[in-house]
Formats: sequence, structure tokens, C-alpha cells
Amino acid sequence: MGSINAANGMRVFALLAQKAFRRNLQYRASHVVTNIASIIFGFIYVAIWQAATASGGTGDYSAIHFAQYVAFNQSMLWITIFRQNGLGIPDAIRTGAISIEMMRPIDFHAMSVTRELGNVWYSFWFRTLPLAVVFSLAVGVHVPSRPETYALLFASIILAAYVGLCLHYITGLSGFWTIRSQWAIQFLHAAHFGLSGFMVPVDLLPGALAPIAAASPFAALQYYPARIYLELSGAEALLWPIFWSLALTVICRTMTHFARRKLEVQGG
Amino acid sequence: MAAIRLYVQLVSASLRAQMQYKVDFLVSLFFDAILQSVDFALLAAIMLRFPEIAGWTIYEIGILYGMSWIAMSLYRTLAPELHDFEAYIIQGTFDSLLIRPWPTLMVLLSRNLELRKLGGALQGFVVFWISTNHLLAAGRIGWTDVLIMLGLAAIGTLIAFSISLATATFAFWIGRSDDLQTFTMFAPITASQYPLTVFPGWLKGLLSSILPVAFINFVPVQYLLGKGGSVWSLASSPIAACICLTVAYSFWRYGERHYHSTGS
Repeated sequence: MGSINAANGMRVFALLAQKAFRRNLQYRASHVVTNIASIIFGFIYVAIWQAATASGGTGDYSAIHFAQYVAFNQSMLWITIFRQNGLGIPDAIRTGAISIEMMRPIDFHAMSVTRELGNVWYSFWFRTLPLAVVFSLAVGVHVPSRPETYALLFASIILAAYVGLCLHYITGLSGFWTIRSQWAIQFLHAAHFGLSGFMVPVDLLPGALAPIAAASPFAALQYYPARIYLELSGAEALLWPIFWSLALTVICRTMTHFARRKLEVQGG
Repeated sequence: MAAIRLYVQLVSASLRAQMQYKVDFLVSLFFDAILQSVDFALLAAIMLRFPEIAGWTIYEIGILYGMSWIAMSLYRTLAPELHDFEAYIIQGTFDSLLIRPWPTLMVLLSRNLELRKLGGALQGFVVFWISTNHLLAAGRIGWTDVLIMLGLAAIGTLIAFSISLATATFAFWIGRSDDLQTFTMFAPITASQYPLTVFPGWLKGLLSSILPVAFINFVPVQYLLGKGGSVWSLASSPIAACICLTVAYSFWRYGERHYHSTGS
């Protein structure tokens, strides 16, 4: 639908993101609880790795690397995978509000993503950063020794957030074709749990699982940014994230087109 | 007691309703089981490279994992409405429970049995079974130990239930409890899949006192595997369960009395 011109469109998107950010600000107090939970999870995983590697690290990773790897990922979770489930689309499908949402004179995909960008921006400042500070007090910060690491890290974090948004969008939109929407979200989280490398570095996974996970979009969420952060990988760690950013965008646009067709056919 | 008979009747009705869709139930069950088993897949991935964590092998940790999941899944099956309790406060539907001539908790528990959560218990039991078979073959434990462990897992359900009940009670004051559940249930249960000894002192203390998941599996199993503790370690589990239930239930009743409704 192209009835909003470019200038207006950008303003609308910016407004959506801003409102989402402001909405999150109202719940700052309750977010403290989930931040504490994240901290505890981080300490749990760090403790497990410390015990496991007591006789020495493995691969590229030393004992300190594991702790910082886990801490980095725990902070990152809030801007990668911890999004509103399916970007709110499953709920909209369930209540029927999806027909109104899709009827708006604005690109549905862009609207859903920019709306969530407000949440991402909030999560970055009020979750990722505070968590990173707390963890750095416990396990230290890896200060990059090469100047290009900063640029690579910035790029990988942006890509990670974007891939996360795409994955949630696709999962949410799949509700048009599935009977039970809960499975799609559960599957997304399970796949992330197993393939993203948020706790076990992907190259330490057994057998064929390692290359499969490394090539999956989930690794772009946690594993590659963490590798860049620890300076265990360079620019080559951006290849898969870039690929998936493009591929998932195509999938998102295509699915939106078919979802809209389905909606019109069903007379929603 | 009349309340118990009513509970059984309501639960049977709920079960029969769910069983109308047998295939859906079975598929949900197995799908759930597979999804939850990703937890163990990660654990196994670690242990394939590092044969021991704090002196515990993969099979010993498998017992901890299995018992933890069985206890947690049984609680999630029996008390899903507690897990999502804040909806009752936010939407004001708790009032409709208060006006009934039955204990609110009983009505709440009879509302809905989420049978598909048994998938978690299923995969936990599979891991437990494989682990115990290995240890039995190695002569580390006997059959009575296995039965004791299963019994303790069932008792562990009561501990998980108590923690959840106490967490849900907070909703009476702050209107929210679901986020708190991440903190009081998910984090401790994840920790209980691993030997308690790996954790820093403050965390060990937390998991043995306010959030006593240590008594679901670690404390008794430590004794049964000859890694420490005494015969009292076995008794600590049911004792902890009784204390937890009493404290949690008293807290719930206290919260009920001080409940201010939305005022519709």
C-alpha cells in the first residue's frame, strides 16, 4: 500500500518507535525483577563453565573467555531474542485485530518492525547496558586490542537485533497457516536455545551440529557478535549475519504478501 | 473431605474435555517433550567435551536433571493457573473465586490441568532412566535408590508448587507475578539441573533457603551417590516440602485477606 509518501512515512515510523519506547518506560520498576533474573542466570552459566573448565579450557577459549562469553550473551539476549512474542502478531491473529492492522495505509512489515524498534532501543539502555555493567564487575570486560573491533562489534550487534526482529516476525506471521501459535514461538525459543550458542559456543557443539548451527540465523544472534567481542573472529564473522539479514528480509516480505492474500480471501 | 471430592470431580471434567482431542493432546505432548529436551542436549554438549563438572559425571547429573524436570513438569501440569496467576488479579476474575463456598486455591487448581506439560516430565524421565540404568550397571546405586529418587521427585513437586504459590501471592499486592516467576522458578530450576557445589556461596545459600530447590534433588541424591551428606539428607526433602507448603499456604491466606479488588 503506498498511500503515504516518503517523508510522512518516515515520520510515522519514527513516531511508532518513540511511542513504544515511552510505553516501556512506564514499566521500569517491574523490569528490575527480570533484570535480576537475567543476572542470576548469567551467574549460573558462568559457574557451570568455571566448574567444567576447571582442568583447562578448550578450543580458542580460555576460562576467562567462557565467563565473558556468557556474560556478553546474557546482556545481548534482550536486544536479540527477547522480543514481544512474534512482534504481537499471534495476539492480533487470535483477537482478529490483524485484519485492521493489515488494513492500515502503511507497510505492515515495516510498521511491525519499527514499532518493535522502540522496544529494542529501550532494552538496549535499560537492560543490556545495566546487565553488562553488573557482569563486568564480576567477570571483567574484554577491552578490544584492535581498533576495527569496535566497528565490527557495532555492525554485528545491529545485524543481530535485525535478524532477531525478522525471526520473530516470521514466527508471528506463520500463525496464518498454523493451528496452534504457541508451537511456533516455543520452537523459535528452542531453536535459539540450541543453535545460537548463547551458552555453549557453536564451535564446541558435537559433530554435525556445529556447522549446522554456525550456518543458522540463530548463530547471528549470539555466537558471531560474541566472537567479535572476544576478538576470536574478525570480519568473517559478519558473513552469515549479513546473508541472513538479506535472506530473512526477503522471506518476511514474501510471507507478508501471502498473508495479506490469505486475509483478503478469508474475508477478514 | 467434600472439597477434595469436588476437586477430583472438576479435574476429571477438565481432563475429559481435553481428551476429546486425543490426537492433539498426544502431538502436543511429544512436541513439548522434544522442545524441552533441548535443555538436556546443551548439557550433553558440554559434558561430551568436559567429562566432569565438580566431580559429577554426565549420568549423575542426568539424575539431577531428570528429577528436576519431573518435579517441575508435574507442578506445571497440576497448577498452570498459579503460574499465570496475575491475569486473575489484573482482570479482576479472582473475585469470582472468592464468592464461591470453596477454598480459592482448590478452585484455582481444579480449573485447568495442562496435560501437555507432562511432555517435560516424559523427557526428564527418559534422561533419568538412562542415567540410572548406567549407574545401576556400574553398581553405584541399587533399585531401592531409584525408587527413592522417583519418590523424592514427586515430593519435589510440592516444593516447586510452594515456591510458585508464594510467588503468585505477591500479585495480591503488586498486581504482577508472572515476571517474578522467571526469578523464583525458571532460574532456580535451571540451577537445580546442575550440582549445587558449582555455584558461588550466595547462590548456594539462596537455593537452599528462600528458593529451596536444592532439596528437590541435590541434597538427597548427593547422599545416595556417596558424595556427602548423611541419612538425614534423605529426610530433608519431605521435611523441606512440609515447611514450604505450610509457609506458602499461610502467605497465600494472608494475601487473600488483604486483597483489594479492582472494585467493580
